[in-house]
Amino acid sequence: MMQENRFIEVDHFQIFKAHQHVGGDVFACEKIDNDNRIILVLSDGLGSGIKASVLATLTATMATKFIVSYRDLKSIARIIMTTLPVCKERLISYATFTIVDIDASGITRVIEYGNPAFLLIRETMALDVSRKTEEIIFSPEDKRLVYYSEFKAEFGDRIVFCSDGVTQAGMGASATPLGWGDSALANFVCSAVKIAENISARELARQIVSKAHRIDEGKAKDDITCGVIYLRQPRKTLIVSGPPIKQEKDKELAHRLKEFIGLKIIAGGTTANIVAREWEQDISVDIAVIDPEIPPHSRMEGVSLVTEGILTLCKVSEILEKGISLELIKNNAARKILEILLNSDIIHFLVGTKINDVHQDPNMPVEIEIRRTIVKKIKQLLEKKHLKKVYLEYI
Amino acid sequence: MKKIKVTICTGTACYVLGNSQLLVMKDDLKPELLKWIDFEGSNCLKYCKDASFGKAPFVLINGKLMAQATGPKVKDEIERLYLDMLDGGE
Ligand code: FES
Repeated sequence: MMQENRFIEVDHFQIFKAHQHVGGDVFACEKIDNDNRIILVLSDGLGSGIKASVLATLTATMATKFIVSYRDLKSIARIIMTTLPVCKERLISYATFTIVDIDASGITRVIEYGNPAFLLIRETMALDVSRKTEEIIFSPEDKRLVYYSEFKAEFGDRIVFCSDGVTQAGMGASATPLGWGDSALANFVCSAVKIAENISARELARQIVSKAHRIDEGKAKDDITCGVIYLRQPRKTLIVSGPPIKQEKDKELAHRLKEFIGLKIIAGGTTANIVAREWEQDISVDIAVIDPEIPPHSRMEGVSLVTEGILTLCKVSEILEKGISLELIKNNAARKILEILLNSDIIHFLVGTKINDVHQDPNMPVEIEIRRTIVKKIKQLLEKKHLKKVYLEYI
Repeated sequence: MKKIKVTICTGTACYVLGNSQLLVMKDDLKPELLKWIDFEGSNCLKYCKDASFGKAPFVLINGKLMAQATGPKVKDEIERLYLDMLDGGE
Protein backbone atom coordinates (compact mmCIF):
# COMPACT_ATOMS: atom_id res chain seq x y z
CA MET A 1 0.00 0.00 0.00
CA MET A 2 1.38 3.41 -0.84
CA GLN A 3 0.91 7.01 -1.50
CA GLU A 4 3.39 8.74 -3.76
CA ASN A 5 6.40 8.29 -1.51
CA ARG A 6 5.17 6.22 1.29
CA PHE A 7 4.90 2.50 1.41
CA ILE A 8 3.51 0.26 4.09
CA GLU A 9 5.52 -2.91 4.21
CA VAL A 10 3.91 -5.78 6.04
CA ASP A 11 5.47 -9.12 6.73
CA HIS A 12 5.67 -11.80 9.34
CA PHE A 13 7.77 -14.73 10.40
CA GLN A 14 6.80 -17.85 12.22
CA ILE A 15 8.17 -21.02 13.76
CA PHE A 16 5.74 -23.71 14.83
CA LYS A 17 5.85 -25.47 18.15
CA ALA A 18 8.37 -28.29 17.97
CA HIS A 19 6.96 -31.43 16.29
CA GLN A 20 3.80 -29.66 15.08
CA HIS A 21 3.23 -29.27 11.37
CA VAL A 22 0.20 -27.06 11.66
CA GLY A 23 0.28 -23.74 13.43
CA GLY A 24 -2.13 -22.57 16.06
CA ASP A 25 -0.94 -19.04 15.30
CA VAL A 26 -2.43 -17.56 12.17
CA PHE A 27 -1.35 -14.37 10.48
CA ALA A 28 -3.74 -12.88 7.94
CA CYS A 29 -3.39 -9.76 5.85
CA GLU A 30 -5.92 -8.16 3.56
CA LYS A 31 -5.73 -5.05 1.42
CA ILE A 32 -8.98 -3.21 0.91
CA ASP A 33 -10.30 0.12 -0.44
CA ASN A 34 -8.22 -0.06 -3.55
CA ASP A 35 -5.11 -0.95 -1.60
CA ASN A 36 -5.51 2.11 0.59
CA ARG A 37 -6.14 0.22 3.76
CA ILE A 38 -4.59 -2.91 5.24
CA ILE A 39 -6.17 -5.18 7.81
CA LEU A 40 -3.85 -7.50 9.69
CA VAL A 41 -4.82 -10.14 12.13
CA LEU A 42 -2.64 -12.28 14.32
CA SER A 43 -4.68 -14.89 16.07
CA ASP A 44 -3.46 -17.49 18.49
CA GLY A 45 -5.72 -20.49 18.95
CA LEU A 46 -5.70 -22.13 22.35
CA GLY A 47 -3.37 -25.11 22.36
CA SER A 48 -1.66 -26.07 19.17
CA GLY A 49 -2.10 -28.21 16.09
CA ILE A 50 -5.14 -28.52 13.85
CA LYS A 51 -7.81 -27.45 16.31
CA ALA A 52 -5.95 -24.34 17.34
CA SER A 53 -5.27 -23.61 13.70
CA VAL A 54 -8.94 -23.82 12.73
CA LEU A 55 -9.96 -21.51 15.58
CA ALA A 56 -7.26 -19.01 14.78
CA THR A 57 -8.14 -19.08 11.08
CA LEU A 58 -11.79 -18.57 11.93
CA THR A 59 -10.90 -15.59 14.12
CA ALA A 60 -8.64 -14.08 11.50
CA THR A 61 -11.24 -14.47 8.77
CA MET A 62 -13.98 -12.93 10.88
CA ALA A 63 -11.79 -10.07 11.95
CA THR A 64 -10.80 -9.11 8.43
CA LYS A 65 -14.44 -9.20 7.34
CA PHE A 66 -16.02 -7.40 10.31
CA ILE A 67 -13.59 -4.57 10.47
CA VAL A 68 -14.66 -3.57 7.01
CA SER A 69 -18.32 -3.32 7.93
CA TYR A 70 -18.15 -1.93 11.47
CA ARG A 71 -16.62 1.34 12.50
CA ASP A 72 -16.98 0.70 16.21
CA LEU A 73 -14.13 -1.38 17.54
CA LYS A 74 -16.01 -2.61 20.53
CA SER A 75 -18.73 -4.21 18.43
CA ILE A 76 -16.12 -5.94 16.32
CA ALA A 77 -14.44 -7.44 19.36
CA ARG A 78 -17.77 -8.44 20.83
CA ILE A 79 -19.02 -10.16 17.70
CA ILE A 80 -15.84 -12.15 17.30
CA MET A 81 -15.80 -13.19 20.92
CA THR A 82 -19.43 -14.21 20.93
CA THR A 83 -18.93 -16.32 17.87
CA LEU A 84 -15.91 -18.15 19.16
CA PRO A 85 -16.43 -21.07 21.49
CA VAL A 86 -15.28 -20.61 25.06
CA CYS A 87 -13.26 -23.09 27.04
CA LYS A 88 -15.60 -24.36 29.76
CA GLU A 89 -13.01 -24.86 32.52
CA ARG A 90 -10.85 -21.86 31.97
CA LEU A 91 -13.56 -19.48 30.76
CA ILE A 92 -11.32 -18.02 28.18
CA SER A 93 -11.87 -17.75 24.48
CA TYR A 94 -10.39 -20.40 22.33
CA ALA A 95 -8.42 -17.80 20.42
CA THR A 96 -6.74 -14.53 21.27
CA PHE A 97 -6.12 -11.87 18.65
CA THR A 98 -4.50 -8.64 17.60
CA ILE A 99 -6.22 -6.73 14.83
CA VAL A 100 -4.46 -3.83 13.15
CA ASP A 101 -6.28 -1.58 10.72
CA ILE A 102 -3.99 0.93 9.03
CA ASP A 103 -4.71 3.30 6.16
CA ALA A 104 -2.49 4.99 3.61
CA SER A 105 -2.12 8.13 5.73
CA GLY A 106 -0.88 6.12 8.72
CA ILE A 107 -4.08 6.32 10.79
CA THR A 108 -4.00 3.11 12.78
CA ARG A 109 -6.51 1.32 14.96
CA VAL A 110 -5.57 -1.68 17.02
CA ILE A 111 -7.76 -4.11 18.94
CA GLU A 112 -6.01 -6.51 21.25
CA TYR A 113 -7.37 -9.43 23.14
CA GLY A 114 -5.09 -11.76 25.02
CA ASN A 115 -1.96 -11.34 22.88
CA PRO A 116 1.17 -9.50 24.08
CA ALA A 117 0.86 -5.74 23.66
CA PHE A 118 2.05 -4.41 20.31
CA LEU A 119 5.04 -2.08 20.11
CA LEU A 120 5.16 1.21 18.25
CA ILE A 121 8.77 1.94 17.36
CA ARG A 122 9.70 5.45 16.28
CA GLU A 123 13.31 5.82 15.20
CA THR A 124 14.95 3.62 17.81
CA MET A 125 12.53 4.05 20.70
CA ALA A 126 9.44 2.19 21.78
CA LEU A 127 6.70 4.79 22.28
CA ASP A 128 4.09 4.66 24.98
CA VAL A 129 0.78 4.22 23.25
CA SER A 130 -2.31 5.00 25.27
CA ARG A 131 -4.67 2.07 25.36
CA LYS A 132 -8.31 2.16 26.26
CA THR A 133 -9.42 -0.84 28.27
CA GLU A 134 -12.93 -2.14 27.81
CA GLU A 135 -14.53 -4.87 29.74
CA ILE A 136 -16.84 -6.94 27.67
CA ILE A 137 -19.24 -8.69 29.99
CA PHE A 138 -20.67 -11.93 28.76
CA SER A 139 -21.93 -13.14 32.09
CA PRO A 140 -21.16 -12.24 35.71
CA GLU A 141 -18.28 -14.74 35.74
CA ASP A 142 -17.18 -14.07 32.24
CA LYS A 143 -15.75 -10.61 31.77
CA ARG A 144 -13.04 -10.13 29.21
CA LEU A 145 -10.61 -7.30 28.77
CA VAL A 146 -10.07 -5.87 25.36
CA TYR A 147 -7.63 -3.04 24.58
CA TYR A 148 -8.16 -0.41 21.91
CA SER A 149 -5.72 2.11 20.61
CA GLU A 150 -5.86 4.65 17.88
CA PHE A 151 -2.90 6.70 16.67
CA LYS A 152 -1.22 8.11 13.60
CA ALA A 153 1.85 6.24 12.51
CA GLU A 154 4.54 8.49 11.07
CA PHE A 155 6.89 7.89 8.19
CA GLY A 156 9.66 5.54 9.40
CA ASP A 157 7.56 4.02 12.19
CA ARG A 158 7.33 0.30 12.82
CA ILE A 159 4.55 -1.59 14.51
CA VAL A 160 5.57 -4.92 15.99
CA PHE A 161 3.10 -7.48 17.30
CA CYS A 162 3.52 -11.07 18.29
CA SER A 163 2.02 -14.15 19.84
CA ASP A 164 2.85 -15.16 23.41
CA GLY A 165 5.22 -17.76 21.97
CA VAL A 166 7.63 -14.80 21.66
CA THR A 167 7.25 -13.13 25.05
CA GLN A 168 6.95 -16.39 26.97
CA ALA A 169 9.90 -18.04 25.26
CA GLY A 170 12.19 -19.70 27.77
CA MET A 171 9.55 -19.73 30.49
CA GLY A 172 10.64 -21.85 33.44
CA ALA A 173 14.32 -21.69 32.54
CA SER A 174 16.55 -20.29 35.26
CA ALA A 175 17.58 -17.25 33.23
CA THR A 176 14.00 -16.43 32.20
CA PRO A 177 11.64 -17.93 34.80
CA LEU A 178 8.74 -15.81 33.55
CA GLY A 179 9.71 -15.99 29.91
CA TRP A 180 11.61 -13.55 27.74
CA GLY A 181 9.12 -10.81 28.59
CA ASP A 182 7.63 -7.69 27.03
CA SER A 183 10.33 -5.26 28.02
CA ALA A 184 13.19 -7.52 26.95
CA LEU A 185 11.42 -7.85 23.59
CA ALA A 186 11.12 -4.06 23.32
CA ASN A 187 14.83 -3.65 24.09
CA PHE A 188 15.72 -6.26 21.52
CA VAL A 189 13.64 -4.56 18.82
CA CYS A 190 15.11 -1.14 19.61
CA SER A 191 18.65 -2.40 19.34
CA ALA A 192 17.87 -4.30 16.14
CA VAL A 193 16.68 -1.09 14.45
CA LYS A 194 19.66 0.77 15.89
CA ILE A 195 22.01 -1.72 14.25
CA ALA A 196 20.18 -1.81 10.91
CA GLU A 197 18.28 1.41 10.40
CA ASN A 198 16.56 0.22 7.22
CA ILE A 199 15.86 -3.32 8.34
CA SER A 200 12.90 -4.69 6.39
CA ALA A 201 9.68 -5.85 8.03
CA ARG A 202 10.43 -9.44 7.18
CA GLU A 203 13.99 -9.36 8.46
CA LEU A 204 12.99 -7.73 11.74
CA ALA A 205 10.21 -10.30 12.25
CA ARG A 206 12.70 -13.05 11.44
CA GLN A 207 15.25 -11.75 13.94
CA ILE A 208 12.66 -11.51 16.70
CA VAL A 209 11.35 -15.00 16.08
CA SER A 210 14.84 -16.49 15.82
CA LYS A 211 15.84 -14.84 19.07
CA ALA A 212 12.79 -16.24 20.86
CA HIS A 213 13.53 -19.63 19.34
CA ARG A 214 17.09 -19.50 20.69
CA ILE A 215 15.78 -18.59 24.14
CA ASP A 216 13.59 -21.70 23.85
CA GLU A 217 16.85 -23.53 23.19
CA GLY A 218 15.88 -24.32 19.63
CA LYS A 219 12.77 -26.26 20.62
CA ALA A 220 9.75 -23.99 20.43
CA LYS A 221 7.38 -24.65 23.33
CA ASP A 222 4.59 -22.83 21.56
CA ASP A 223 4.09 -21.37 18.08
CA ILE A 224 6.32 -18.31 17.77
CA THR A 225 4.90 -15.65 15.45
CA CYS A 226 5.77 -12.04 14.87
CA GLY A 227 4.27 -9.51 12.46
CA VAL A 228 5.89 -6.20 11.54
CA ILE A 229 4.51 -3.16 9.76
CA TYR A 230 7.04 -0.66 8.45
CA LEU A 231 6.16 2.71 6.91
CA ARG A 232 8.94 3.58 4.57
CA GLN A 233 9.97 4.94 1.21
CA PRO A 234 9.01 2.49 -1.53
CA ARG A 235 11.78 0.69 -3.40
CA LYS A 236 11.30 1.21 -7.12
CA THR A 237 12.59 -0.62 -10.15
CA LEU A 238 12.29 0.16 -13.85
CA ILE A 239 12.70 -2.69 -16.27
CA VAL A 240 12.90 -1.93 -19.97
CA SER A 241 12.57 -4.65 -22.56
CA GLY A 242 12.29 -4.53 -26.31
CA PRO A 243 13.12 -1.84 -28.85
CA PRO A 244 10.51 0.92 -29.24
CA ILE A 245 8.07 0.58 -32.08
CA LYS A 246 9.60 3.55 -33.91
CA GLN A 247 13.24 4.45 -33.93
CA GLU A 248 12.43 8.06 -33.05
CA LYS A 249 11.43 6.78 -29.65
CA ASP A 250 14.90 5.38 -28.85
CA LYS A 251 15.98 8.67 -27.33
CA GLU A 252 12.88 8.78 -25.15
CA LEU A 253 13.53 5.26 -23.90
CA ALA A 254 17.14 6.05 -23.04
CA HIS A 255 16.10 9.28 -21.35
CA ARG A 256 13.38 7.63 -19.27
CA LEU A 257 15.88 5.07 -18.07
CA LYS A 258 18.48 7.71 -17.25
CA GLU A 259 16.08 9.86 -15.24
CA PHE A 260 14.49 7.05 -13.28
CA ILE A 261 15.18 7.06 -9.57
CA GLY A 262 15.59 3.49 -8.37
CA LEU A 263 17.07 0.28 -9.72
CA LYS A 264 17.26 -0.19 -13.48
CA ILE A 265 17.16 -3.38 -15.51
CA ILE A 266 17.49 -3.82 -19.26
CA ALA A 267 16.15 -7.17 -20.47
CA GLY A 268 17.00 -7.46 -24.14
CA GLY A 269 20.15 -7.32 -26.24
CA THR A 270 18.82 -4.92 -28.84
CA THR A 271 17.40 -2.70 -26.12
CA ALA A 272 20.77 -2.70 -24.37
CA ASN A 273 22.46 -1.75 -27.64
CA ILE A 274 20.06 1.17 -28.08
CA VAL A 275 20.71 2.46 -24.57
CA ALA A 276 24.47 1.96 -24.91
CA ARG A 277 24.44 3.95 -28.13
CA GLU A 278 22.32 6.79 -26.70
CA TRP A 279 24.32 6.97 -23.46
CA GLU A 280 27.63 6.34 -25.21
CA GLN A 281 28.45 3.46 -22.90
CA ASP A 282 30.08 0.07 -23.37
CA ILE A 283 28.43 -3.23 -22.61
CA SER A 284 30.45 -6.18 -21.41
CA VAL A 285 29.06 -9.68 -21.20
CA ASP A 286 30.01 -11.64 -18.12
CA ILE A 287 30.87 -15.18 -19.22
CA ALA A 288 32.26 -16.33 -15.89
CA VAL A 289 29.21 -18.47 -15.12
CA ILE A 290 27.42 -20.20 -17.97
CA ASP A 291 23.93 -21.66 -17.86
CA PRO A 292 23.17 -23.42 -21.16
CA GLU A 293 19.52 -22.40 -20.86
CA ILE A 294 19.83 -18.70 -20.07
CA PRO A 295 22.28 -16.30 -21.76
CA PRO A 296 24.72 -14.61 -19.39
CA HIS A 297 24.08 -11.13 -18.01
CA SER A 298 26.11 -8.06 -18.96
CA ARG A 299 27.28 -4.88 -17.33
CA MET A 300 26.75 -1.30 -18.33
CA GLU A 301 27.49 1.72 -16.23
CA GLY A 302 24.37 3.35 -14.83
CA VAL A 303 22.25 0.19 -15.02
CA SER A 304 21.86 -2.37 -12.24
CA LEU A 305 21.53 -5.33 -14.57
CA VAL A 306 21.54 -6.10 -18.29
CA THR A 307 20.19 -9.42 -19.52
CA GLU A 308 19.00 -11.07 -22.70
CA GLY A 309 15.27 -10.61 -23.28
CA ILE A 310 12.83 -13.33 -24.17
CA LEU A 311 14.51 -16.49 -22.88
CA THR A 312 15.34 -14.81 -19.59
CA LEU A 313 11.89 -13.28 -19.10
CA CYS A 314 10.26 -16.63 -19.91
CA LYS A 315 12.37 -18.17 -17.18
CA VAL A 316 11.44 -15.40 -14.75
CA SER A 317 7.77 -16.04 -15.42
CA GLU A 318 8.23 -19.80 -15.07
CA ILE A 319 9.98 -19.47 -11.70
CA LEU A 320 7.29 -17.10 -10.42
CA GLU A 321 4.54 -19.37 -11.62
CA LYS A 322 5.98 -22.48 -10.03
CA GLY A 323 6.76 -20.54 -6.89
CA ILE A 324 10.29 -21.91 -6.67
CA SER A 325 12.34 -20.33 -3.95
CA LEU A 326 15.30 -18.34 -5.26
CA GLU A 327 17.93 -20.14 -3.26
CA LEU A 328 17.16 -23.28 -5.24
CA ILE A 329 17.79 -21.71 -8.61
CA LYS A 330 21.03 -21.56 -10.59
CA ASN A 331 22.67 -18.22 -10.34
CA ASN A 332 21.67 -17.13 -13.84
CA ALA A 333 20.34 -13.86 -15.24
CA ALA A 334 16.70 -14.82 -14.53
CA ARG A 335 17.48 -15.25 -10.86
CA LYS A 336 19.31 -11.92 -10.84
CA ILE A 337 16.20 -10.20 -12.24
CA LEU A 338 14.00 -11.88 -9.64
CA GLU A 339 16.29 -10.90 -6.80
CA ILE A 340 15.77 -7.28 -7.76
CA LEU A 341 12.04 -7.53 -8.49
CA LEU A 342 11.14 -9.39 -5.32
CA ASN A 343 13.01 -6.81 -3.31
CA SER A 344 11.10 -3.93 -4.93
CA ASP A 345 7.72 -2.52 -3.98
CA ILE A 346 6.89 -0.68 -7.16
CA ILE A 347 7.90 -2.07 -10.52
CA HIS A 348 7.57 -0.27 -13.83
CA PHE A 349 7.78 -2.22 -17.05
CA LEU A 350 8.52 -0.19 -20.13
CA VAL A 351 8.05 -2.53 -23.05
CA GLY A 352 9.10 -1.82 -26.61
CA THR A 353 6.68 -3.14 -29.17
CA LYS A 354 8.82 -3.47 -32.26
CA ILE A 355 8.71 -7.02 -33.51
CA ASN A 356 12.24 -8.36 -33.42
CA ASP A 357 13.06 -9.49 -36.96
CA VAL A 358 15.28 -12.19 -35.55
CA HIS A 359 12.39 -14.04 -34.02
CA GLN A 360 10.60 -14.38 -37.31
CA ASP A 361 12.75 -17.43 -37.85
CA PRO A 362 10.28 -20.33 -38.12
CA ASN A 363 12.66 -22.52 -36.12
CA MET A 364 12.11 -20.48 -33.01
CA PRO A 365 9.32 -21.44 -30.64
CA VAL A 366 6.18 -19.42 -31.19
CA GLU A 367 6.17 -18.15 -27.64
CA ILE A 368 9.31 -16.24 -28.32
CA GLU A 369 7.46 -13.72 -30.47
CA ILE A 370 5.27 -12.66 -27.67
CA ARG A 371 7.17 -10.40 -25.33
CA ARG A 372 4.00 -8.67 -24.33
CA THR A 373 2.32 -11.84 -23.22
CA ILE A 374 5.21 -12.82 -21.02
CA VAL A 375 5.51 -9.43 -19.42
CA LYS A 376 1.77 -9.35 -18.74
CA LYS A 377 2.06 -12.72 -17.09
CA ILE A 378 5.00 -11.62 -14.95
CA LYS A 379 3.01 -8.55 -13.95
CA GLN A 380 0.06 -10.64 -12.81
CA LEU A 381 2.23 -13.07 -10.90
CA LEU A 382 4.08 -10.27 -9.12
CA GLU A 383 0.78 -8.65 -8.17
CA LYS A 384 -1.05 -11.77 -7.09
CA LYS A 385 1.65 -13.80 -5.45
CA HIS A 386 3.93 -11.08 -4.17
CA LEU A 387 1.58 -8.11 -3.70
CA LYS A 388 3.79 -5.82 -5.77
CA LYS A 389 2.49 -2.68 -7.39
CA VAL A 390 3.27 -3.15 -11.07
CA TYR A 391 2.83 -0.69 -13.91
CA LEU A 392 3.07 -1.70 -17.54
CA GLU A 393 3.59 0.76 -20.33
CA TYR A 394 4.33 0.24 -24.01
CA ILE A 395 6.64 2.36 -26.07
CA MET B 1 52.53 -13.14 -30.11
CA LYS B 2 49.11 -11.53 -30.00
CA LYS B 3 46.24 -13.51 -28.52
CA ILE B 4 43.45 -14.90 -30.68
CA LYS B 5 40.21 -13.13 -29.92
CA VAL B 6 37.06 -15.23 -30.00
CA THR B 7 33.81 -13.29 -29.66
CA ILE B 8 30.82 -15.50 -29.01
CA CYS B 9 27.43 -13.92 -29.59
CA THR B 10 25.15 -14.56 -26.61
CA GLY B 11 22.09 -12.88 -28.15
CA THR B 12 18.80 -14.77 -28.17
CA ALA B 13 19.04 -16.35 -31.63
CA CYS B 14 22.69 -17.38 -31.38
CA TYR B 15 22.31 -18.70 -27.86
CA VAL B 16 19.33 -20.87 -28.68
CA LEU B 17 20.89 -22.15 -31.87
CA GLY B 18 24.07 -23.39 -30.26
CA ASN B 19 26.33 -20.74 -28.80
CA SER B 20 25.40 -21.77 -25.26
CA GLN B 21 27.49 -24.88 -25.97
CA LEU B 22 30.41 -22.91 -27.39
CA LEU B 23 30.88 -21.06 -24.13
CA VAL B 24 31.65 -24.28 -22.33
CA MET B 25 33.87 -25.47 -25.18
CA LYS B 26 36.90 -23.78 -23.73
CA ASP B 27 36.98 -26.49 -21.10
CA ASP B 28 37.90 -28.98 -23.88
CA LEU B 29 40.81 -27.01 -25.31
CA LYS B 30 44.40 -27.88 -24.51
CA PRO B 31 45.82 -25.61 -21.80
CA GLU B 32 48.78 -24.48 -23.93
CA LEU B 33 46.31 -23.40 -26.62
CA LEU B 34 43.91 -21.84 -24.15
CA LYS B 35 46.65 -19.47 -22.97
CA TRP B 36 46.58 -17.82 -26.36
CA ILE B 37 42.88 -17.28 -26.63
CA ASP B 38 40.77 -14.43 -25.36
CA PHE B 39 37.15 -15.51 -25.09
CA GLU B 40 34.51 -12.87 -24.80
CA GLY B 41 30.75 -12.75 -24.97
CA SER B 42 28.74 -10.17 -26.84
CA ASN B 43 25.08 -9.39 -26.99
CA CYS B 44 23.36 -9.60 -30.38
CA LEU B 45 25.94 -8.73 -33.05
CA LYS B 46 23.04 -7.95 -35.42
CA TYR B 47 24.16 -10.44 -38.09
CA CYS B 48 21.02 -12.43 -37.35
CA LYS B 49 18.89 -9.60 -38.72
CA ASP B 50 20.33 -9.85 -42.21
CA ALA B 51 20.16 -13.11 -44.13
CA SER B 52 23.13 -12.17 -46.31
CA PHE B 53 25.47 -12.95 -43.40
CA GLY B 54 24.26 -16.54 -43.29
CA LYS B 55 22.61 -18.28 -40.41
CA ALA B 56 23.01 -18.03 -36.63
CA PRO B 57 24.87 -18.86 -34.46
CA PHE B 58 27.62 -16.37 -35.15
CA VAL B 59 31.14 -16.15 -33.81
CA LEU B 60 33.90 -13.66 -34.58
CA ILE B 61 37.43 -15.00 -34.59
CA ASN B 62 40.00 -12.23 -34.75
CA GLY B 63 37.26 -10.10 -36.25
CA LYS B 64 36.40 -12.60 -38.99
CA LEU B 65 32.77 -13.72 -39.07
CA MET B 66 31.82 -17.36 -38.85
CA ALA B 67 28.15 -18.24 -39.48
CA GLN B 68 26.54 -21.49 -38.33
CA ALA B 69 29.37 -21.87 -35.88
CA THR B 70 29.88 -25.20 -34.18
CA GLY B 71 32.40 -26.40 -31.62
CA PRO B 72 34.55 -28.33 -34.14
CA LYS B 73 34.49 -25.50 -36.69
CA VAL B 74 35.61 -22.95 -34.12
CA LYS B 75 38.26 -25.31 -32.76
CA ASP B 76 39.69 -25.97 -36.22
CA GLU B 77 39.88 -22.29 -36.96
CA ILE B 78 41.56 -21.53 -33.64
CA GLU B 79 44.09 -24.30 -34.18
CA ARG B 80 44.82 -23.09 -37.72
CA LEU B 81 45.43 -19.55 -36.44
CA TYR B 82 47.58 -20.88 -33.62
CA LEU B 83 49.79 -22.86 -35.99
CA ASP B 84 50.07 -19.81 -38.29
CA MET B 85 51.13 -17.79 -35.27
CA LEU B 86 53.76 -20.32 -34.31
CA ASP B 87 55.09 -20.31 -37.89
CA GLY B 88 55.07 -16.53 -38.01
CA GLY B 89 56.80 -16.39 -34.64
CA GLU B 90 59.78 -18.45 -35.76
S1 FES C 1 21.77 -13.02 -31.72
FE1 FES C 1 23.73 -13.34 -32.46
S2 FES C 1 23.82 -11.97 -34.06
FE2 FES C 1 21.91 -11.61 -33.25
